[in-house]
Amino acid sequence: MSQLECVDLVKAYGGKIALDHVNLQVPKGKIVGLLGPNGSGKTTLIKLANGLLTPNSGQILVDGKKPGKDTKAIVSYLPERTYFADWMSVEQTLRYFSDFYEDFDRTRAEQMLHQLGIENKMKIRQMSKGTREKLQLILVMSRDAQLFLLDEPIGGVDPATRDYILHTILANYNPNATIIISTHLIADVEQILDEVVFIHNGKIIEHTSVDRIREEKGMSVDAYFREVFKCSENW
Amino acid sequence: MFGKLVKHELYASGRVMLPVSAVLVAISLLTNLAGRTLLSGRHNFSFLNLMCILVLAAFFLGIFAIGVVAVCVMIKRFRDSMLTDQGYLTNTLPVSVHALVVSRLLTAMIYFILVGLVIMLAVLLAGAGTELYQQAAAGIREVLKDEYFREVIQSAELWKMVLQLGVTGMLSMIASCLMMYLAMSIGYSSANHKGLFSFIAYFVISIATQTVVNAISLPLLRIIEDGNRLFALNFTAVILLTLAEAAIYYLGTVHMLKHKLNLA
Amino acid sequence: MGWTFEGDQPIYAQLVYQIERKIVSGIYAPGVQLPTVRAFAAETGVNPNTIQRALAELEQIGLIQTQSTSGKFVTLDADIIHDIRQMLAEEQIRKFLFAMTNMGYTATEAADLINQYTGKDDEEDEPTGMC
Repeated sequence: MSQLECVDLVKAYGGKIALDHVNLQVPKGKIVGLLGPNGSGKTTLIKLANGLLTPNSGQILVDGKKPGKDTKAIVSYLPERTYFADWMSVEQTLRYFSDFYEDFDRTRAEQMLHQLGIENKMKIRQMSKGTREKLQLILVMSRDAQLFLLDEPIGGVDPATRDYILHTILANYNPNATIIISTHLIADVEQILDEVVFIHNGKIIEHTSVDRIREEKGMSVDAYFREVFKCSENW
Repeated sequence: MFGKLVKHELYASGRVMLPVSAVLVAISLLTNLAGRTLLSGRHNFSFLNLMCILVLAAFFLGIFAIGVVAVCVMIKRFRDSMLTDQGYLTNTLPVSVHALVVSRLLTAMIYFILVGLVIMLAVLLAGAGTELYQQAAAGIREVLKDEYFREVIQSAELWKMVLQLGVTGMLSMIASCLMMYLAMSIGYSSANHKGLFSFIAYFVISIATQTVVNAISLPLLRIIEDGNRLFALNFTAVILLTLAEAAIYYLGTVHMLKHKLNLA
Repeated sequence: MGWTFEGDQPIYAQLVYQIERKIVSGIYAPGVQLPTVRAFAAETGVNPNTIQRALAELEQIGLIQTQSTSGKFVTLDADIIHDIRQMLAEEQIRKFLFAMTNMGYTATEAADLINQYTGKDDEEDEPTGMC
C-alpha cells in the first residue's frame, strides 16, 4: 500500500483550480521531492494530506485512510510558518509534543536542541526566524512518524542552516517512513531525494526517480526541471 | 487527549485571566481602604481624597473590565489557536474537531465562572468591615431568622426556579460563546477581510436568531393559564430554544472547521 | 570530508567511484569498518537508499563485505584491491592519452613528457597529485 495516494484529486479555491485531477502514489520508505514553482499546488496537496483542507472531488489517502484523527497521529508536518504561540518556551513546546504525540522522542529532540545551543527556557519570541525554524524542524523530525510532510523547509534560510536542516533530515531517517519535501529550490535537495514529483498548475507532470533522470537524461534533476518548465513558464 | 487539550487551554488563557483577577482583588483591597478613608469624613477635598475616589472608580471599572477581558481572551484564544498560524499545529493534532471546540468552550466557561466568583470576592473585600456592610449583614441575619422566609427557602418551587435560572444562564453563556466561534469560523474561511467578515457574520447570525426566536416564542406566550404555569413553560421553552441555538452554532462551527478551514 | 557530486551522473555511481578511490588509496584501509548507511548519508548528504545501492554494487565487485551483525567492512583481499586500483589507473591513463593525442602527441612522446615533468618535480621536491 502506498504511504500517500491521490485518486483523481481536485481542489479549487475561489475560482482557481489548485489541484487538477491529481493521481499519485508515493511508496513507503522513500524521500520524495515535490517540486514545482510557487503556486503550483504543492502546499495545497500537503494541506489536503494533513486534513487542513478537504477535497472538492476525488480522494486522498494516507496509509489507506482518509485524513482524520488517526492519520494525524502518524503524520509529522512542518509548515512554512511558526506554529507555536510566541509566549511559549522551548520546554513548553517539548511538553506539548510529548503530550499529544506518542511517537515523540523527547530525549532525541533535546539532544539536538542543546547541540545548537537552544536552551529549554528560551522563549519563541526571543528567537530569530532561523532558530525558530530549526526548533520546529527538530521537533517534527524527532517523531517516529510514518509520513513526514515538510513544506519548503529550506526556503529563506542561510546556507549553513540549510545544510543543517538537510543533515537533520538524513540523520533522523527511518527506512520505514516516507518523507515528502516540497520545495522550489531543487539543486539544494536533489542529493537526498529518491524520487521526484514535478507539479505545475495543479497537475503532476512527472513522477520518477532521481537516478533515472540522471541516467536517461544525463543531467541533474535541477537542470532537467528547468528544461521541463522552460516551456510552461510565463514571465 | 481531551484532558490535555483542556489543560493547555486553561494555561494559555490563565496567563491573562489569573493576573487580571489578582489585580482586581488587589484593587478591591485598596478600595476597602479608600472607602474607609472617604467615609471617615476627614481630609475633605484633599489630594488623598482624590486618590481614594480614583481607586473607587478603578474598582467599578475593574469589575466591568474583568468581564470584558474574559470575553476578549475567549475570542482571541479561539482565533489564535484555531484560525491563524497556530492553527497549523492545533488542527493537525491527533484529536477530533469536536474535542478541539469543546475544550476551548469548556475553558471559556470555567473562566467566566471564575470571573463571577472573583467579582463576588472583590465586592466582599471592598466592603468588608464598613458600616454599609455591617448593616447589610445585620439585615441578612434578620431575614434568615424570619419564619416566612424559612418556609419559602424550603419550597421546592423556589429551588426549581433557581435551578432553571442557573441552567438558562449557563446555556446562554454557552450559546453566546458558540455564536462567536461560529462567526469567527465563517469570517476566517474567506481569504481576505477575515475580521470584517467575522463581524458581519456575527450580526447576521444575531439578527437571524432573534427573528427565529421571536417567531417561535410569541405564539408560546399566548398560552397563559396562571402565573406558575407561565413561568414553567417559559423556562422550558427558553431552555430548549437556547439548547437548540447552541447546538446549531456548535454544529455550524464544527462544519466550518472541518471543511472550510482556510489557514493563510 | 568534502564529498562533491556532479549533476550529470547518477549519484550512486559517483559514490561507488569515490569510495573505490578511498579504498585503493588506503583512506579506507583493508579490513576497516565502513560507516553505517545512516552515518554515510549524514556525512555525504546523500539519500540512504542511494548509499545502499552504492554499497551493494561495491559488495558485488568484492571490495566490501557485510558481516551480519557488525556492518560493512573493506575486504582484506589485497588482490581485488590491487585489481581495482589498476583498473582506475588505466582509466586515468586512457583519459590522459586521449587528451594528449588530441593535441597531436603520440603515446611515446606523452610518456617522455611525463618523465621530464616528474624529473623536474623531483628537483623541486613537490609531490605530484594524481587526481
